Amino acid sequence: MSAGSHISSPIPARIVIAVSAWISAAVVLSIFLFLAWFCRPLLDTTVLSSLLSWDWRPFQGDFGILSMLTGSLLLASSSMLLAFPVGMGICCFVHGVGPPGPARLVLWTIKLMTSVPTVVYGFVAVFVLVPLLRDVFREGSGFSLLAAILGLAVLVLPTVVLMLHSQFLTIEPQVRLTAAALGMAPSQKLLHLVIPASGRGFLAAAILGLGRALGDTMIPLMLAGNAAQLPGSVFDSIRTMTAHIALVVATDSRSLAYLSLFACGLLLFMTTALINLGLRMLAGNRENGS
Amino acid sequence: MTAAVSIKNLRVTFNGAAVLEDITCKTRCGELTVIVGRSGSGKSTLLRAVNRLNECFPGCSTTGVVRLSLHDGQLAVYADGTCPERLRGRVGMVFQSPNVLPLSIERNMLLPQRLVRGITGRAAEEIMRRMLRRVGLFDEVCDRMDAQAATLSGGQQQRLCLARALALEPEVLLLDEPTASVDYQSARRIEDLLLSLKDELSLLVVSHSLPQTRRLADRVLLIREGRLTGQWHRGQANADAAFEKMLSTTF
Amino acid sequence: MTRFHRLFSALCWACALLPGAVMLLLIGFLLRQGWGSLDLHLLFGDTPPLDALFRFVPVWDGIWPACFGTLCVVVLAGVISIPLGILCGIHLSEFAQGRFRDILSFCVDLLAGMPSILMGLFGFALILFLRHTLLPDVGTGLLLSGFCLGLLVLPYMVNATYTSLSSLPQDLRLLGPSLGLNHMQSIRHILLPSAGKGIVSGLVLSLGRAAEDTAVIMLTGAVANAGMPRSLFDKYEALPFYIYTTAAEYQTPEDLNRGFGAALVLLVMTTGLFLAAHLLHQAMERRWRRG
Repeated sequence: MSAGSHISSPIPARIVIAVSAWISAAVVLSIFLFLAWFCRPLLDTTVLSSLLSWDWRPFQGDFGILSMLTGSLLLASSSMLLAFPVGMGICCFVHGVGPPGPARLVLWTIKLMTSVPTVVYGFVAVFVLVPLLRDVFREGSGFSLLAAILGLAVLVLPTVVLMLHSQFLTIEPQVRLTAAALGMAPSQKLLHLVIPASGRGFLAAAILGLGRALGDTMIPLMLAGNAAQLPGSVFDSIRTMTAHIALVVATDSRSLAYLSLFACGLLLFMTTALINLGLRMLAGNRENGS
Repeated sequence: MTAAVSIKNLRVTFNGAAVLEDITCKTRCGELTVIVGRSGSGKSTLLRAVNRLNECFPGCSTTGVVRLSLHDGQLAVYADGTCPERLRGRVGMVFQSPNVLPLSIERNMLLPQRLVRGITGRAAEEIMRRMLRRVGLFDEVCDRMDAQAATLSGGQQQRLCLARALALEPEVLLLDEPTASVDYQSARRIEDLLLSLKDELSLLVVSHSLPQTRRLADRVLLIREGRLTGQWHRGQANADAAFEKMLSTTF
Repeated sequence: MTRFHRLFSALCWACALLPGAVMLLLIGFLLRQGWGSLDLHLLFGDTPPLDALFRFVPVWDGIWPACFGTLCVVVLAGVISIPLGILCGIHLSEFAQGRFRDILSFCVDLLAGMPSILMGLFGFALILFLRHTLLPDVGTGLLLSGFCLGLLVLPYMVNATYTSLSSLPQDLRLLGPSLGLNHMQSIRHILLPSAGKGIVSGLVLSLGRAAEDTAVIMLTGAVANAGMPRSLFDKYEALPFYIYTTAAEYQTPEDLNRGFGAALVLLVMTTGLFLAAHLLHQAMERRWRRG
């Protein structure tokens, strides 16, 4: 700060930068405080127990959110169970099983998939996937858990693939020449060297994908049918917490209905925070480990 | 005696730029051939052309003929029907810097045997012990076979890589400056090892050192700017003088 | 190669074909259904385009109000998040240290992982709060949506700035001090211009996300039939919300066709932004690879 300090004084600029950084941090805090503030009535145990029940019948005074919670968890985990192995297959294809040209094309397509609006996926699924499921399985309207699982799996696939891809990139170049010089086929290299060495990265990809699947609103809202119930099969309709929030705000309900909305919001916020903490611990361990 | 490796009109390009051009030469069984040249002259590329490892780099294209004579007959390296994986199982390679796999010492030795040759269990362990003894590593590591291979010293790692390559029982062994990143003691050990190996298999070694070349070579190939500009053989007339004359310009 | 590895390779090929198949199906279906309705009539209905554009004559059976609404919220989101995001990214990359840095980057990550419906709920709660306290008449509208969308994309802008700055080569970081510039000057005249393309690419990508998000705007003031917004506090229409309502409650085949048209327009818009960001990013990478 010696020679040029008369041209532009560095102190105010630094303060502006620091303040705007802390504004960003304050946003996160204020979201939490708002949700917590609106959830105050939950401290009353009778209110709490009425929310923690399985029935959602707003006109009879039942405001249970447990079926939404189950719906969210069920949908997110099953779509990840579908997307993760497929994502792994795509990653192996990109890293040696497939020829270089098609591998680049596949990776590029995956990146392009991230730019498709969620609502467009939902829109096309409503007019292609739902009628297809209705015709093939001849059960219900087609707006079902299964439709949402398939739609959501497509939505989180790029997240999973790109995360796995970055993990593969840290290990595969190290062993590529060695494995080839030893006469290993690309699939052998991936199965026996790269995949065993990247367990932590896979966990991170799974957690991140699960977070996205839990947080998505439009796919379950448009495809899952939104009946607040426990599904008996994949052809039944379900309602997720995210869809619940969207639906309750749209239909003007009474006060306990609003409370259920903020309770769902708080649960989602906590889940996001937990997921982030988990990812951070994974990353921290990796830095210490190596 | 038949030629172990015979190369004819070899040309290797990366993204259109020629790295090797018009290479034609032969090496014989039971000989140790040293490839010398300045850095960037293409000697590593020549080595990698023998086991088609250049194909692992983007933009590579190879023309010409490379033939190996193995105990069950001739193998045309670049023929359509030749599977690169099977080829590389019979042509071992050791790199300049030790490249142990991110596994334990034991798994480093056993995994390639299982995957490439399908040898498992007692038989594989027997080969592992024999090869580790061969490179003089067995006594140093026998009590910590489960340790990560990366915990060994540089010289030990390089000998492990050599043992790993030998465990596949190759008939040709390629070594790309095998002593460049180890200390003097380890380098001499590896050199002695190579001399003891040359009765069993054909060795091609890239070297960057004149004393090493003098100690090891039965045959020298001199590469300059992608072309073969000189050959020397221990049996030729006035061998010592020819050796000095050819290599004085290189080192 | 064993049978197992053969099977594994075949499975990988099968998986690799899926993304292409999905994208072809998606784009092919939208084109087949929506291509016919892509014309000025889709945008403006029976209203003369120039009247709609410059004299704000109401458009009843076109998607122009929805396009305009989306444009407005994206601009508002950009105005709010771009300066904040860039400055925060600079702070994170150049100044923040120790525990504060950890807290700040955790907050940014948390914000990035936040489901968008939560951001909408935050906006909704904000309005409820303001109604009960300071401003009893306030309602959801354009400004609120822009604000919440801005917060939604803020972490992407922070991360784009942060990664572009921190991936600059070490030599370039030493250049400023070696010329006698102080840290601030070096950031302004050397680091920011060098990282410019990467930052802009991140900004463009973030704006694409703001344009496509539906969950935030449906809680903060987007409605089905608002026409053109007259002020920042008006309700408005938006393309993603229009697509959603069409799927849920279309009445006539014409409605549906307009929905397909709107989906195509939105898809072209976001992929266009994506491609632009991609090209900018590549330009930046090429520059540093050449050194």
